[in-house]
Amino acid sequence: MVFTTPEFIVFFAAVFVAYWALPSRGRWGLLLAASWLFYAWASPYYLIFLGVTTGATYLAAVGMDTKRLSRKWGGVGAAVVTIGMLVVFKYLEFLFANVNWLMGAVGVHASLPAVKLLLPIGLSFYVFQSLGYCIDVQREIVSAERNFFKHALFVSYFPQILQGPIGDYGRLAPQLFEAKTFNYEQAVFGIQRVAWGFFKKVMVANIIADRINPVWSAVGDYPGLICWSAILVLYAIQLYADFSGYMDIACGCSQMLGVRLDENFQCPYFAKSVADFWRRWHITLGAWFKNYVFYPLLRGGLLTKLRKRLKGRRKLANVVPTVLALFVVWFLIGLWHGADWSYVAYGLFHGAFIILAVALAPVTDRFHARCPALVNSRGYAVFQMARTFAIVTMGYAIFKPADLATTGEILRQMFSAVDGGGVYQIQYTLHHSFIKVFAWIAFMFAVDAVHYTKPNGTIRAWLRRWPVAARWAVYVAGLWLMVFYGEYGSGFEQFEYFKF
Amino acid sequence: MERAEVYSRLADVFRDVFDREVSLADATTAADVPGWDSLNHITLIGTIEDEFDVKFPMKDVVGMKNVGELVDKIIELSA
Repeated sequence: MVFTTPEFIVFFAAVFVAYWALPSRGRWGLLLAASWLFYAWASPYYLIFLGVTTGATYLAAVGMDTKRLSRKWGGVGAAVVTIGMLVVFKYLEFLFANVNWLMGAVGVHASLPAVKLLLPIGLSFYVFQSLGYCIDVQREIVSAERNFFKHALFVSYFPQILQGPIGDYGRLAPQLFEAKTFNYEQAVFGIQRVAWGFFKKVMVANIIADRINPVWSAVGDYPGLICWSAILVLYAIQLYADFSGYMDIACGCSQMLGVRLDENFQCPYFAKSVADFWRRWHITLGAWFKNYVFYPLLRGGLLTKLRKRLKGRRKLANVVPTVLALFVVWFLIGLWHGADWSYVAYGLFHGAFIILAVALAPVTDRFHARCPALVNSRGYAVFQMARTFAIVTMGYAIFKPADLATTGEILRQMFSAVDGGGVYQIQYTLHHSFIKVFAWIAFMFAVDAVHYTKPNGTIRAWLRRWPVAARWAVYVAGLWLMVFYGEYGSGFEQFEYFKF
Repeated sequence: MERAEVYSRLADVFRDVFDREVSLADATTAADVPGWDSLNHITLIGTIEDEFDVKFPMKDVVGMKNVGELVDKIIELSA
């Protein structure tokens, strides 16, 4: 069930009313039933994958907690089942194709079949969430949940099952099961957040998508640097509005049920470096890789030995293991997005800038120490933001086509002379919907700018101090704008991150 | 081991890892020390482990909130 459809609105309204009408002890049961219904809506077949993930992680976590399983084998078991399922359903075709190619390269004929299996929606998200929980049990950070159905709710909680945020058990689970009383203010804040998510999706993401989608199937028709700069910048905004809009709806719905989800975005296009960007974009994915891949790699035997061997050369001992671990992490983050070398290239593209920053840190630190006035100036901050945005936007030339040959063609077109009907077409489209496209983008980033400069104050709290009539005038105007000017319905149901 | 001794040796470790003098107190967090981010955290932890000849469990590596907790843990593990 997709958030921006009428059936979801009906579904959520029913869940919301029933949830607060029930006594506290029955609420989590309702959420579990609602979550399974929500997930099975697209295909009941998906429940098999959810069931296997839930069962395997439940058995592993309880086994480790009760000492029936060693911590090592409990963790390995959970990883083999969950990651194994992900490999089979997401990466098998890619894996077989590469094995065939590799064998061919060494002169051995291999013909593993091109198996294209249906990837259950959300699998990459709930597999990571439940595996992270098992690792936390293994590390004795949390105790295992003994009630299977409570564990099942943690894995399948409907606001986050399809696209995240990837939940942390220690923060999420207690909220799902604690006794709560209805809080009017939180419910209103939740509705406002949902409305903001709808705005981003129907007034920004869909409107941009409608104008630039034709580009991706005919990239050769759009020559010129200015043309591609415009297309990639528009796609950057579309992707942000799409993904963060979905998160706003997820977090808002959850807030209406009294459950605060982890934030996945924090003004990412105001980031001052690529590393900073990843602390603001898809935050829960970055945190997952940091906690469960990057840290264990750096503390593993191989890199610890390397650091000790380089002990006499302190700077190398600090940098080399970190760079190696970063390479692995960014390779995997790229691969997480999809089974194609283009996604690996996308991950390594970002990783390369982060690694470069680590390697050049001594030089940049010296520069910062020598020029404090420049470094602390507003102009330098704007330069850093523009530089980071340009890098991230270039990355979308790899990410969006999901095909390295098309990325190559985009780069070729970027540096070729402007001569093509496609350019005039996109100029014409943007010119004739200038207000519709740019006014809402400007509004969205103006709100982001307020959040960036005043992270502790919220626009919702400010709005609350308005007179009731003025507040309702804003709500009605917003709804009217979305209904009459938004783009939604057939062809706009999907969100960009569903495919991951 | 006394807290004062732990602090004195920790100051050396922080100077080595971050290339600058760092003033440390119980309430000091990663946000107070320029350069103490997720990329440098494990390097710092590894260097502390070498200095004090201890091994932090992963639970503490990801869970310690400030320098005070770090010092407590060092004293506990080296006891």
